[in-house]
Amino acid sequence: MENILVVENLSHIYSAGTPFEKKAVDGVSLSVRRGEIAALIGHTGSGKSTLIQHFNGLLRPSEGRVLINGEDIFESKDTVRAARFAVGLVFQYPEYQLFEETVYKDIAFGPGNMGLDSAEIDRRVRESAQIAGIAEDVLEKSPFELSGGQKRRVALAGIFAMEPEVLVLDEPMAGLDPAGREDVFRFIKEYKERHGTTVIFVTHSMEDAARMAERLIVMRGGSVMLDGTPAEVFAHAEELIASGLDVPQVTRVFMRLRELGAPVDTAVYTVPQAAELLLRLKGVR
Amino acid sequence: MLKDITLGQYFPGESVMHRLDPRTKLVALIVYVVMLFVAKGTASYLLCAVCAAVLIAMSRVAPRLILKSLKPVIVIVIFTAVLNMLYTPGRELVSFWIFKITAEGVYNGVFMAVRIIMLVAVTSLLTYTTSPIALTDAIEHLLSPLKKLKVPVHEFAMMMTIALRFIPTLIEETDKIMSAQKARGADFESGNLLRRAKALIPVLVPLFVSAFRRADELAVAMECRLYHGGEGRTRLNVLRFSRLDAAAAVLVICFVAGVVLLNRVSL
Ligand SMILES: Nc1ncnc2c1ncn2[C@@H]1O[C@H](COP(=O)(O)OP(=O)(O)OP(=O)(O)O)[C@@H](O)[C@H]1O
Ligand SMILES: [Mg+2]
Repeated sequence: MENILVVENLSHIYSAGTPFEKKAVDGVSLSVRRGEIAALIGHTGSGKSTLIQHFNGLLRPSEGRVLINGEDIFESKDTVRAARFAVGLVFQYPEYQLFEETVYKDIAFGPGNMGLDSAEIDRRVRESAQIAGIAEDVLEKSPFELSGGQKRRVALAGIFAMEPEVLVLDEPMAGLDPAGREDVFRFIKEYKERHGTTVIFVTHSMEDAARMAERLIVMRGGSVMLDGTPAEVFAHAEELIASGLDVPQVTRVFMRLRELGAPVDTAVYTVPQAAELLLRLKGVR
Repeated sequence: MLKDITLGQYFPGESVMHRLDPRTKLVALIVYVVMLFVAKGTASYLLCAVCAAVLIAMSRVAPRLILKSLKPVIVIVIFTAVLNMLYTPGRELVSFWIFKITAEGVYNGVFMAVRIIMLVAVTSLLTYTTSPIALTDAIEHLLSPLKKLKVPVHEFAMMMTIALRFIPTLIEETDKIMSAQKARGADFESGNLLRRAKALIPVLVPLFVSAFRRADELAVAMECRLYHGGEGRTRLNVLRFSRLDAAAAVLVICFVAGVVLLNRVSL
């Protein structure tokens, strides 16, 4: 599989040249393969949101480059605009960005900006509304009448409808109840399966990351601290905890087991995995 | 981006200038500005300039920032200086076409320019070293005699404090919403005026919605804490004059005396 998104030695400095100067991202290099689903994890202020805003050219790197399909996105005005459509970015609390009179029109805003014809827009709006679990009759309502969770779905559908090659989400599940989190999780999965999209999402929850992603990228202080499969990353459970990050509860259980002398690995991060490992352990004895 | 526009442009610090009572600073600034207009002749202007330089040095604010604050007025400075040069009658230096530059004109022009520059530099020094909240507090205090005349000084000060408090929040919010709409392909940079104005709708609607939501929340929060105006209200940070302020007052008086005396020295 080829790399769809490549970040080369990227740094970003906010308010350069003032007393408030702040290096938010510091020498990050990444490559993301087409169709991959990756979670970006890190402490508050570790530069996750700053990093992802470079992926579609909203922020210009102070240093380094971002390549989409091998092309530098800051080559010209057109490449920046192309990057906006190739990479769909969903901000944190996207429900605060709704503005149209009806849900339908709001979802159609993105595709409309892409200059598609109205039949294609209609197809995309209906399809993405369906994926995001928005009922037909809601489409004609005002987005301001909806509940917080419903607004979140509309905002997600608004990006889905642009059919980006890479979907980037900043804490898509923040502020939702467990059922709501589960829903959002499902919509993203479903959308990805239909379109083969590459997905990168930011999260604070190691559980969510471990459950959803096949790759974890852990950031600390603006740089990448760990990058690999969940098993690889959670093998460094002690390091993660030492730097103030959480690990899934089952991983903690296994860390404790190992402390007590059981011959187990800490690269365990889901309950079924844990169950299987424990059974095997018992069978051996 | 939008965030780089510093409004109120306060830079926190620990210098003497930061520690002075905001009332002292405000009154001193008013005195300084008045003296700038009272000053006549090179000697008094020199004193004003030296004072400004000393104040800036004491504040530990980077001189670069002071220069930055002068940028917006540079056009006015040049314009005033040129007008003064051309239209002051007196001994002619050079003349061309219908213009003539006089010695008095050059003299006046330079002084006007210096006056405006010092005025802006020292005023921005005040805003650089005093938080907007402290400044409104000081204004409220200084205007409190007007309360006797039933002027709602406290309410005005509260409105100003809230407005100042929310300017950065709203700027940040605008930035966020703009980014979010750009991510959906909104284009704020191209097209004619009408198109650009229309492009702002996706920003303005969510911005107003959130501003009203915030106002509502703030009102409820204030009511929950039994806010009922200025009557009998005490403060967390009581403004107190210290020895530093007394010293500053003495220096201000010396400065006034200095300018008045130097005005008599003809140079
Ligand atoms: N617009 C901005 N101007 C100046 N500094 C900023 C700006 N945005 C973020 N920062 C700073 O950059 C650093 C990284 O911020 P960023 O928002 O990328 O962190 P994050 O990892 O997304 O955190 P969180 O988990 O809280 O969302 C922080 O220290 C923050 O204060
Ligand atoms: Mg963030």
